[in-house]
Amino acid sequence: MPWEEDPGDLYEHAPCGYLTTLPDGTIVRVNETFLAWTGYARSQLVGQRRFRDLLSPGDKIYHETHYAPLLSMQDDVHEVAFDVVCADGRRLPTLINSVLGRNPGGSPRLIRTTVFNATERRGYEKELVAARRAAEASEVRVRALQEVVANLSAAPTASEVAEAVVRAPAAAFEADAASVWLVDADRDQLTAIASTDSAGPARDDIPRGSSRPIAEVARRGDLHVVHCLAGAEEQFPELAETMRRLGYATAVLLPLTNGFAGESIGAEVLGVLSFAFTEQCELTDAELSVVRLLGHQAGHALDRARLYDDARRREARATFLAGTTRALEELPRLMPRARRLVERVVPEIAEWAAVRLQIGPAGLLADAGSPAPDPERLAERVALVVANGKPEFTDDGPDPDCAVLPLSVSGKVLGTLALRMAPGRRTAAAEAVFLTDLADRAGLALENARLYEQERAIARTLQRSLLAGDPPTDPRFAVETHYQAATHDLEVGGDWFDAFLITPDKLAVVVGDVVGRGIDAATTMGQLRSAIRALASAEAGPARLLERLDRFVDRVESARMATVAYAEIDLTTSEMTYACAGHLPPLLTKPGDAPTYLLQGRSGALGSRAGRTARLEHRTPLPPGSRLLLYTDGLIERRNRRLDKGFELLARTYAGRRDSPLPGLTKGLVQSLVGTDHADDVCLLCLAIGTEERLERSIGADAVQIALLRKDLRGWLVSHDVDEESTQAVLLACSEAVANAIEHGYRNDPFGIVDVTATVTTGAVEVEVTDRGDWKATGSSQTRGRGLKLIEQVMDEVVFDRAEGTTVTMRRTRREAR
Amino acid sequence: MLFAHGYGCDQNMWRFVAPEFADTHRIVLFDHVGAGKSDLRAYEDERYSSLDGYASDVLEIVHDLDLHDVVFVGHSVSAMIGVLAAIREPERFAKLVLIGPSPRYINDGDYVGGFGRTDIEEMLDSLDNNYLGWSSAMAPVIMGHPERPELGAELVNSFCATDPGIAKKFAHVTFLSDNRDDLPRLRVPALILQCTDDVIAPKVVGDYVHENLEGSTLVAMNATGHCPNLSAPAETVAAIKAYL
Repeated sequence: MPWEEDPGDLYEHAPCGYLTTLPDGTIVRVNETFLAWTGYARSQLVGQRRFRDLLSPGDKIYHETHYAPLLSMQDDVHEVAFDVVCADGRRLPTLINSVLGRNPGGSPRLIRTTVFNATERRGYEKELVAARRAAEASEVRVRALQEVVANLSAAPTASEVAEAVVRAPAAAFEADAASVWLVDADRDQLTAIASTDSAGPARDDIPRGSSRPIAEVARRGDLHVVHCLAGAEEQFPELAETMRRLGYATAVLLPLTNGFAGESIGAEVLGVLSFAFTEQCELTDAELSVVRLLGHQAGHALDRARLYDDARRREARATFLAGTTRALEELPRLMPRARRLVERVVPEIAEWAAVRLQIGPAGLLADAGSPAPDPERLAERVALVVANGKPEFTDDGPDPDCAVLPLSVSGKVLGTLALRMAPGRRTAAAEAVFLTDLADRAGLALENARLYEQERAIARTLQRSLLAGDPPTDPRFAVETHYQAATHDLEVGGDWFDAFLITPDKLAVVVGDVVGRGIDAATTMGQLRSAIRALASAEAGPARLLERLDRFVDRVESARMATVAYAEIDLTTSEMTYACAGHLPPLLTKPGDAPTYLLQGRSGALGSRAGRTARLEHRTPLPPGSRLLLYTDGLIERRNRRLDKGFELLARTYAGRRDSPLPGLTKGLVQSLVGTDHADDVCLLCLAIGTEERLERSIGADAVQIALLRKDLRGWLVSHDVDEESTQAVLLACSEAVANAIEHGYRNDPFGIVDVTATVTTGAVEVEVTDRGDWKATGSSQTRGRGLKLIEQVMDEVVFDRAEGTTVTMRRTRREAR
Repeated sequence: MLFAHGYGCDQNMWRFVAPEFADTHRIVLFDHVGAGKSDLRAYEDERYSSLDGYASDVLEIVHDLDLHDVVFVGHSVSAMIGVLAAIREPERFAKLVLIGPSPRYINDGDYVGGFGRTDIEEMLDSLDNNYLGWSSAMAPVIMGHPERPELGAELVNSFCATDPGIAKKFAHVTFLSDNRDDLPRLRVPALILQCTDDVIAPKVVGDYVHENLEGSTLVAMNATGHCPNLSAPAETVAAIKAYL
């Protein structure tokens, strides 16, 4: 039959290659077709080579790891794609099928393999594989882009957006480096903000007008792909130089715009992303569209971040302004206020700030931060701003970002606020609105402080002048006063004291308090003080005086509701008549008695309805040795303490000091009751009446006390008409004795107490000084000896008693008795 | 006895060997994640980015089944996986049987591993070229039903099924691994079965492993190729039995 074939020929020239191999792959038979395709001679293969020896190295591994195990297990393998390496090294793409034949016992006998020439099919498959790889790569890109977009939408600030964008090229395109610049419209530059390579390309900022490729791309707003160095030479020679230096073959410059895909008109360039590849690569159209998409996504994220930044900054600015106004109001005085202003501005707003005020011949200056700008240039600009009242912003020149703003109120320039913005922040010019607002508020606050200072100074001066003048001196009484202004820099109060002789034998003492503070209170106080002096008369008495004062207050509105404690003392009868118009009760100590508040003779404050009825007064004896304390509420009133506690504390403290010398007593009371930190003015007057027969004092072992004791003792001696020579002698001896007690008895132990007792008879003055010290020190016996010598010289009799501590008894005969 | 299959196959490759030990040993077979009937969802890029992840799997099996005195039989890359596991917990292992082990497939200076780096790249191409690899990935895609992978399942070979994506990553990890420094740290006695004409693990590599594994025994087999457990199961079984 014509279709009958010779089996041998059929084998040799079949349309496929035939191979028969031993189980270990050794070729034992091969047909002509295979030899023709591969170019091997039969003798080169049969018995010489294993089938796998004809495969490419990669396929050899596949053969060993996949083909051979599978054939052993299944006895056949189909359609495995192998490249057969031909005699001339050419590779023949094939598809092979193998069948494993076994011996009757089941052990492998031989392998039959057919080999199909699959050049075309494999070509097609390679395309498929390439397509799949492209699809996989595109999937990677899409995933990378999705991740970037997710990161972008989670990035609230421009720098976080930049951080997300800069990582995209490596993830999506396997780029080797990337950098991001952001447009800074205020500084008219492109700021290098993020780079994958810290040492990488261009970490510096680029002016927007620069000829550098980044600036060029930002201006043009188009994607620029530089495939090779030659292309770079042509488009951007500068870029070519950078690429060569850093070893990049391909570079992409992508503007980050807020337009939509395909739209570049009206889109704003917010930044530039550059990325580069060390090996030259062609980006496909699909890849380029992904790159463009990235540019738009990043642009939108930057736009959003910018809006977010703006909103946040506006909020922060508003908070800052409100906080600053509040913080300034806390400090009423001018310099503290100016200092607080610069301290708030630095470092939150600026790295350096200075407030200059045109006050006083030299002006006032408060500054903070560093570095300060060139002083000469600054002085010029300050002068300019003071002259025309307009702010000065400079973004260039030797002091960029340094602004000088006028501090003015209704057109009057009080001074200037100069500052240099913190680095990395927006420029002063960009913050002009905010800074002007800040300067306006600061100007107002400082002007208020200046007015306050001015008024306060006037009020203090006025108050001091009104309170000035020594109380009358008379041997029959002594007056001690103390005025302590509030520490918290508040305005002056309307407290006052006064002591004057109505007639030679009638003494008036007053302590009063005008409602309100400041210059008004001070002048009103002056008026009331004068009015009381004018209205006091020998006949009227306290109640009448208050009634007249009520009528006076009708005409002086600011004096309404003032309170007054007023007392008249008849020095001949030792009687006192007092009246309190809404004022705290005086505190009286009679010799041998506990302190008592004088609660009679009370009526309402001046000009009040309660005071319209007849004023009350009360008469009480005032034996010699009595002490009367008048005071204002600042002494005992505390915000978190009941008033009766205050009274109790005052009485106790006063009782504890009953033997203290009068000089220094009022100050001492204020110190222990009020301390140094007090919110109110305090005014005290203490009147010591009559002549004590015996002067008894206990003083602390403190040299300062000696002077006070001398003053006290002198008054007592004078009141007993002791002659001047004896007075001098007693004062000297007493001082020396007390000094010795302090120095040697207590060796300056401040808790020691020295008791001084003085008695006077018609013939002599006797003084006793007692301490409870141990007098062990002998080191300074010389000075001690000199003190004793002095005492012995000026006194007529000196006796030492050293039983418990030391008592020195000294006696001086009066001149009349000599 | 814990049998670990090598790269390119699954536990089916022990079908002629493992039953021979059933009388004397408890037999444990498993598929590496990505191969055979393993749960593909268990695959994590991070964990399986080095052979250590696979060694951790071996130890997990040892712990979960509470295995002691384990005779670990590892083929090809699993030989090294067994070495890593036995270094970490030597007290669990009695002996290792290493069939065609190689601590490093790529030539490196004086060291001969058998392959150049480009050979490995080509091998990965080979994976792509073969339907054994890409059918399971591409078949559903080609048929237009990626959501119905069962339509493509018939095309996948019934033995030694591997997930192509994982197979490719496993190939990377396997053929780019370098465990030469780990060899001296092994304290468990090991048998090395070295085939004749094994292109994957040539004799010179077997000798290297023998020199660097203290107390190891090297047996040169008549079997050729890389899979004596399939091509010469009787000789393989005999060699292991003789050693045990």
